[in-house]
Amino acid sequence: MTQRLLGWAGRQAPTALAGTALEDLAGGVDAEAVARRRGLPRAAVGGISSFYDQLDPALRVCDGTACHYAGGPALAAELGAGVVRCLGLCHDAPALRVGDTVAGASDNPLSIAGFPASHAPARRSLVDPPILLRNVLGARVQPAAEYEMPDGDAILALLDASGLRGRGGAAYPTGAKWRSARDTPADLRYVVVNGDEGDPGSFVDRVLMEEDPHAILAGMQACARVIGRGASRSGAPARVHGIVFVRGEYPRARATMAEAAAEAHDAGWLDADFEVEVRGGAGSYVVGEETALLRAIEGLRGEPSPKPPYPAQCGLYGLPTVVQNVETLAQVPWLVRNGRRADTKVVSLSGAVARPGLVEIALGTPLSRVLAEGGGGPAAGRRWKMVLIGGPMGRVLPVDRFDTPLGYDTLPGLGHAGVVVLDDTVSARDLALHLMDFAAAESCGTCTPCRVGTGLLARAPDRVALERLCDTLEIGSLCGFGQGVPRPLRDLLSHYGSELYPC
Amino acid sequence: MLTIDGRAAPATGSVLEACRAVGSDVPAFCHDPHLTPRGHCRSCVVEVDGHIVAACSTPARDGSRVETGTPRVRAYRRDLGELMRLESAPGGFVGATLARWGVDGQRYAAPSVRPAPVVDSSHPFIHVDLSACILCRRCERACDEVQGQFVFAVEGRGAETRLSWGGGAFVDTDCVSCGACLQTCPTGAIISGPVVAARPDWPPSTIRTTCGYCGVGCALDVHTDADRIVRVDGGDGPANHGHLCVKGRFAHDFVHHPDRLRTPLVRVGGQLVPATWGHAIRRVVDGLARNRGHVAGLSSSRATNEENYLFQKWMRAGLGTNDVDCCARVCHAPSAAGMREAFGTGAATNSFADIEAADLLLVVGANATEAHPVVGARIKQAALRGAGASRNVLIVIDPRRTELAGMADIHLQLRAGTNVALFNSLACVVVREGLANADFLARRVEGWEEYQAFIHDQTPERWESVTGVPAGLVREAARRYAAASRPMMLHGLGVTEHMQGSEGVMLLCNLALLVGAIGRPGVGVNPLRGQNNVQGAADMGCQPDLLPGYQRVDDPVVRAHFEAVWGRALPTAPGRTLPRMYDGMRAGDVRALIVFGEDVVQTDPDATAVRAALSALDLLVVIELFLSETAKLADVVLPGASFLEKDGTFTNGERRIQRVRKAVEPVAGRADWEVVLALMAATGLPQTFTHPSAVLAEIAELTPMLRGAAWDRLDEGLQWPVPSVDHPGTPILHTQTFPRGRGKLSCVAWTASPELCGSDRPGELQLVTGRSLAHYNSGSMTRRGRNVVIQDRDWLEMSAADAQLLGLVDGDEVVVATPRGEARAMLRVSERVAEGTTFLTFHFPETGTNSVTSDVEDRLTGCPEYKLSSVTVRRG
Repeated sequence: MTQRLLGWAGRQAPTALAGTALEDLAGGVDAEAVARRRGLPRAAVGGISSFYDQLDPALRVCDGTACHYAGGPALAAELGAGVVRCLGLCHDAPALRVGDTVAGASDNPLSIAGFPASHAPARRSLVDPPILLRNVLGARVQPAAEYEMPDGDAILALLDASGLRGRGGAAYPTGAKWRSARDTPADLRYVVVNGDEGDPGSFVDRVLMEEDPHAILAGMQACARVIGRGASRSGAPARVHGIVFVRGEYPRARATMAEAAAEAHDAGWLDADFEVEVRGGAGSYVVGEETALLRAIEGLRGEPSPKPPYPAQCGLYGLPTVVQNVETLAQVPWLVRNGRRADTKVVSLSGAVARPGLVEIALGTPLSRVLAEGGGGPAAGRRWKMVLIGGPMGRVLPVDRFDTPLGYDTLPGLGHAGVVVLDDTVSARDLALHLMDFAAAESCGTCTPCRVGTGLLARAPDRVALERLCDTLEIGSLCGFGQGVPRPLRDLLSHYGSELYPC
Repeated sequence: MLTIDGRAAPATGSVLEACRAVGSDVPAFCHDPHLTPRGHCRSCVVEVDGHIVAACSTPARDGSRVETGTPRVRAYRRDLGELMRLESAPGGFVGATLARWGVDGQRYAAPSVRPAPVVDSSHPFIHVDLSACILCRRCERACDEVQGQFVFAVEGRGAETRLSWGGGAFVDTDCVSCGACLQTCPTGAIISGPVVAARPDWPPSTIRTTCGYCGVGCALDVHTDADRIVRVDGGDGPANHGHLCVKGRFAHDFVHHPDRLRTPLVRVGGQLVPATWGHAIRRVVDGLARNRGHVAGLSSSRATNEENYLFQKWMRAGLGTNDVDCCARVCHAPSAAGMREAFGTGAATNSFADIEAADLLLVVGANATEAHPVVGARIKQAALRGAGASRNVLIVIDPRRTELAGMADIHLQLRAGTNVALFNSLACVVVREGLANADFLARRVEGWEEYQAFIHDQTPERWESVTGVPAGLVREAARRYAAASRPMMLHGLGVTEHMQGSEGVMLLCNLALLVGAIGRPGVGVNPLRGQNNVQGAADMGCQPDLLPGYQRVDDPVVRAHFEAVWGRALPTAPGRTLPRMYDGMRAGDVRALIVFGEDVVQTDPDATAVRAALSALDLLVVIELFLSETAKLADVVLPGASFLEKDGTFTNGERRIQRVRKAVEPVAGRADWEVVLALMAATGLPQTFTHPSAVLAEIAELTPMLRGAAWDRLDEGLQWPVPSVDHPGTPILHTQTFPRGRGKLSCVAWTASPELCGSDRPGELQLVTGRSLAHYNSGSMTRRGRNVVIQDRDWLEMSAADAQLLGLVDGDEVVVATPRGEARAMLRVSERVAEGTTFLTFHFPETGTNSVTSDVEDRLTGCPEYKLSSVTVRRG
């Protein structure tokens, strides 16, 4: 599916409509009607609806890593429910979802009807004052103040000087990305917030979107001011449109972002010509990859595409698009006010710790200190064995490596820094199977190595076969998902090889 | 530069392109140079400076070192192949490559539950077998990005991902049978019927030639086996870039059809009986001698340039008459005349490539996606590109809601027969709203003062009740046309086949002149020529007033030149056009007629009158592939050779002279040019030519606009004028000046056709005739093959309201009647026609479409008004 398909749909649809085919489907419109109203071929709509696995509102139990090891699968079996892969309630596992209602374990999930909103995770900071958690912990900045910023050129100069890099994983210099979008001529540009925090074990984006939406919106506004200074194609003034994409598993974050955007617009905090809308996903891990995310925003199958072209030149609807991670954008207003970047990171802690929740740390802080001071040590009666850090494409560290400093250079694969602490009841083989299962279930099917290879991982008879599959996935996969799947598996092989393949 | 396995390569495009440029055979199963790289198959992995990358989507960078076959890459490819074999059993190129890599499908255990294989052979040409599919998705991209039909999608996710066409039988999809999917499929998952594409020795022989259906001029790669055509692929020609349509790709069953004429026929005692070539030609010679001074000839687009040239040379120098015409008379003669009046040259000002350069396309009276499908696809693609404010604009003027009209930004759905009123309204808006290009008018246009006075009161509001188009919509269309930076106009027979056909063309030229949309990329006035070589037939002088190269027969200087080369005195006065030939037959002045490749009884208007005129002849000679309706009346029928059986050149609708190469031997043993040479020799005009190339040399000598069109230059894709052998050809006309000096604005007011007045009477409907996708004109070639599975008879389109009024329902047999005669067809209740309008194709002789069309003709050229008849319709 391509931009041509959207061009076709735009010329076939009886009238211009808000939203997308995906949102129609997620809203319960049947496929035939979606095809009709959107001007899409039936086959294309079938392709979209069969790509997302959370389109219907049925009861689902979370099978993210924290929930998996907190009885998620047993609960799902007991309830006869399907699974969802991480609701971002890892601190309160196992979690549940029915339609737009999500709940953690402490919310008495068995009485489904009218269960209360989930309780907020604990949060603390090992840096003082907190920067990324500035508005969810301690002294809040007034929302209006987050939006106070200079013009686009000044903002870009600050960004460049600060050396800020994106927190989405690729660590691309943010200033360079914005400049690239600015310098690509277009009448319309987009700034997109990637609120598709799919890594099991990570929930910082959810909390920021739910509790500090204005910092994110102000970060978008900074970007809009920078890229909006670019030349237009037609000679008419160039515009910037903002889109917050929130994964379907975060209904509350979606609602708070939409409310905050309306509030900021009405209060005049956002520039008058800058509109922000919120779009939702419907269950696909790969959609967190930026090119796949753009397709999902367009309402199509969330399939990644090769880069180049990069979204900054050819992104949403083929137009220059800046895609930024939530944490990156939330930092920008602070950076603009303070003239420097924050070298901090919010770690999400879950699993066998006494105090699951969020911890803001200085990059380079050893994991052991984060677990001790942030997580309060082991949960009562649990003995630590290892952590999964950075989700299903992240790293596995055994307990004797807990002195590893948490940084993008010191621990490649740190990713979103979701840390699931696993105790000695968890076998390395079981964790490997859990990760393999996740990979096979979430592979989008776009490229051959990942589509076929992820399904073979669990059936690899020996270490050699697994390593060969890992090679093929790493070398061949189109996007970071297939390339990253082998990363924790290789850690497991190197630290727990005999547990994986006893003979 | 960069190095590829040590060899230097230019650092342009992708690494894969660089590899291909130096002949490195990096596999790339999902790659097709015509399609967006999507990186699905991951087979093109190479090492660049030690980093593993996919070559198809990695830009080639200066100074980098590419290694295509390191041990790591080889081991990876082998494993990838094993993964592919696990989910499918690819044939074709992919299957052969995997076998070469040593892939045996044994490395991994197959999943315990494999999906049931999906095989679909519901479509006459396109069969799908998903068990061979590796999900490279070239078919999906070809359908989206080349044709624009969006038939394919993939469904499911991860291991469940499958190619899909939305469920149901493939034949029930929106597929237009262009075959782009099967041409690009590398696995044999999509194949054409029974052809086994995976055979390593297949195809044994391939010929590059030019398609003989419409005037787009697509390059064909014709694959043959033992003198039989086994498959046709799109060649990478300038008009089609590898694409083809249901006709060019699939409609070749006719070549060896049992109905083909394999020997000459002569009429003996009222019956046509087989005869030898010698006997048949003697009959022709005797008949011509008997009727000397009363002979006329009609050539056609079916003949190559060289054949057309020889034919008119024979008529003029051999038989002493200028009574020679061709089928351009009944289609685009008005374009030639109207554009010659406005600009000085009567041919498309620009090229098909300008469709991609334009930011606005104005399509007038042309159903391009059916009648010129490959250009139609290019128009469609242009309309699908861009987003938001940068989206290209598509405006369609047509009484029918054609596919292009359905996707247009503005569709001006006028009543047939009111073109002139509408075109003037558009121009009036441009002039009165101050949108004209004053600079262009001052520098390059004449008649501005007079024109301003004329156009002042031609407002859309004034003509709204005539055209039926809301004035506001006309104003918007005019504003957008004037506001575009590169507005390109493409028009079809809906403009020309009218009483004011030539005048309509002049008014389109007015519009282009007013906004300065002439003489640069992405603009112009561009007739979509309907037949393969109708441009060439006119170029070659098969016109009663013009010698080759549009040189006037009544110009003594020109004539002297031809007389010197041909060695005969030439008739001095312009001869008869086709309609005047019919008048002459009825009056007894024309007693012998030679028809070369045209079925006038089925395709000329008022068939009853045509039949009567032909019956009055003493000698009717027909050169034809089949015993056509016209051939049935002939005294001598000479078997013709199709475009697949002869050598020569065709000139397409963008003035491009392209090679035609023989793919199979002529079914009746002789190419048409050999037949014409035999006739010339037998009538006292022997020629020394032994090959079409020698004929082209004489054409070049006599024709200034083709002087540089040397045989050995034809692969350059020359577009005339080519005034010298070192001239590159002319993709865009009138860049600096017009052949007539300044462009001329014409002041022509609308006049109602008698047929339009008729359709205002109660109970009468307007009938428009034209083509459908699966068939071509008289259908003689397309009806003799599997295209009839797609459409096996002519359909009459009618609006639901009219059908209800007449008590008719979809599928009814209906009779379409005029005082001239009746046609029979099946009713299709359709949203494509407005109330009061009907549409009928003319592909099947039993329909008798042209029994009802009228003798109203273009006032300047005599082109019939096929596009408007006043008819009644009743249940049959």
